[in-house]
Amino acid sequence: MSTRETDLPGIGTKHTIDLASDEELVVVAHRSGQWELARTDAGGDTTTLLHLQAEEGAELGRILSRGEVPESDPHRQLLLDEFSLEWVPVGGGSSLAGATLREADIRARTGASVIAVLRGRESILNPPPETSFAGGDTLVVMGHRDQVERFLETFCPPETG
Amino acid sequence: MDGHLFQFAILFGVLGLAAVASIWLRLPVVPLYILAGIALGGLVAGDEIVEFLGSLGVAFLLFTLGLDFSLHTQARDPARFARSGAIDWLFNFPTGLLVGLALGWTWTEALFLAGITYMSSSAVVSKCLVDFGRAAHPETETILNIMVFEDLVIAVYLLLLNSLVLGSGSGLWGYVGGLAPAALFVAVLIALAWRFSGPLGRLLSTRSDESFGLLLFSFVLLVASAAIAAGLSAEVGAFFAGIVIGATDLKRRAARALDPFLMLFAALFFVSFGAGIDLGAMGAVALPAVGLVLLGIAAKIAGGFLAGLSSGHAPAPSATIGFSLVPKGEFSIVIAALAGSVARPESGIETLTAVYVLSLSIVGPVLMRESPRIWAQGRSLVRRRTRG
Repeated sequence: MSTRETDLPGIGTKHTIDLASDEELVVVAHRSGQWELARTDAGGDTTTLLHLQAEEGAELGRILSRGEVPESDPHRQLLLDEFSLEWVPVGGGSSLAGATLREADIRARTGASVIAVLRGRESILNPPPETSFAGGDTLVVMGHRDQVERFLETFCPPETG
Repeated sequence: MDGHLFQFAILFGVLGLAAVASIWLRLPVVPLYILAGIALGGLVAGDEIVEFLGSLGVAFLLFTLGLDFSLHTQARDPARFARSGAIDWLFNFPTGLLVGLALGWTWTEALFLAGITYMSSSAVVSKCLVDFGRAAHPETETILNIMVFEDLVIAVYLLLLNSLVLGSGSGLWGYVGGLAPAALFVAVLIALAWRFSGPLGRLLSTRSDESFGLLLFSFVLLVASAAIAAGLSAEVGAFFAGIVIGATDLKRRAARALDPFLMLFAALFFVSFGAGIDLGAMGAVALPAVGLVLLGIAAKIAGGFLAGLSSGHAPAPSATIGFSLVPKGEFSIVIAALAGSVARPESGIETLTAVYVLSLSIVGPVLMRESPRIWAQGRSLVRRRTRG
């Protein structure tokens, strides 16, 4: 596999990835921030597959890069197999909304730890016990897989109705 | 003041409608702005504010073209880059020169026309390539390579033409004297881009977008006025200013800061070009204009097709390259404006260019859009002939 990068003056940058199937995947990063994905087949015909907005392309990139776990690092692999790190949005109806970290008693009830609270553009790292949660916050929750699952069951029941 | 507010309300309203129409017609907006200018005529023609804002617009437009000008990609395969660019030049530069001489013009006037028939419109072409979904196509690289080559040639051409105009009638030393300040100007800017892009970038890159935008405006207009002082045009100065900023890591931020102003002011540039077209004078140049348009289209298609084949493309994409080089715009208008200040009025060069640019900015995008269909139809026609 090899990747080539070419300038497209006035348009943006073109990345061409040679695929094993004798085809090419072309990714154009438009100057406007949009993304274009196209495929060039073995005969040299190019078909546009997708146009993505800036944030859609960024999300695709995040999903694709998440699967990238270097197998050469056994410790990291073990860590990722056993532990789990979840970004959990607090809904307005969640029992967490309005409660403080102490009141919610998360560690005792589920075993998982809240390691950060993301609120708008600010983030509270290692939140003290008196931190209170509000609807719209995002909690970063860490623990063993089953602990994090218990957390989700307890505080984020599936929406009904 | 009140009068101007109302005038601009009408003006921007008409331009907005022209932009809507361009979406409906699947055409780039440039020819519609020119047509709007012709329609508005007296409301715009000779208005100092419109002309001044329009001149800012074309300076920003050329600045943005300069920003994107980098030989980074082209340096990887210089032979292919030079070959395709040279073929395009060979087909299109002499066309204008020969037509001009055939019309009985002076060499200087004919050289102006040569530049006008040579330069395709980077602004219109790159917009069309995106709109027609061809950004990822392999032939697009060759099209843009040719555009970069044209930009490179036009910078040198404007320098030489300049010395020809300034030094005319005073022999060899006159030409050298005419060239010297302009050459100095370019040398200083190249040094700026080469050696001082770091400090310059740090000077401009303030945290606030507001101060960045203002300092950038100041820089562009400063270089443009320096270009005028050196005997060059403001547009050429802005183009070089773009190359300098393009060499810093502020390239994207600069493009973002200018974008909204570019959109408004460049529209005014095309409108005031349209408003300046003398409809009455068109009759006198009708015959040469039709000839020039047809010759110009044929030369661009033929040159682009051969340039495509020489770069290793199959015949169908090579035809697309040919069709894609047809659109004209900003550069031809800038050269025509320069010519207007020098050429004899009876040559009719301004009216001729107006008809030429307007026709090719409409026909070019249509040819580009329909190129796969035109190619398929043409081929089946040839097949039927040879079989019958």
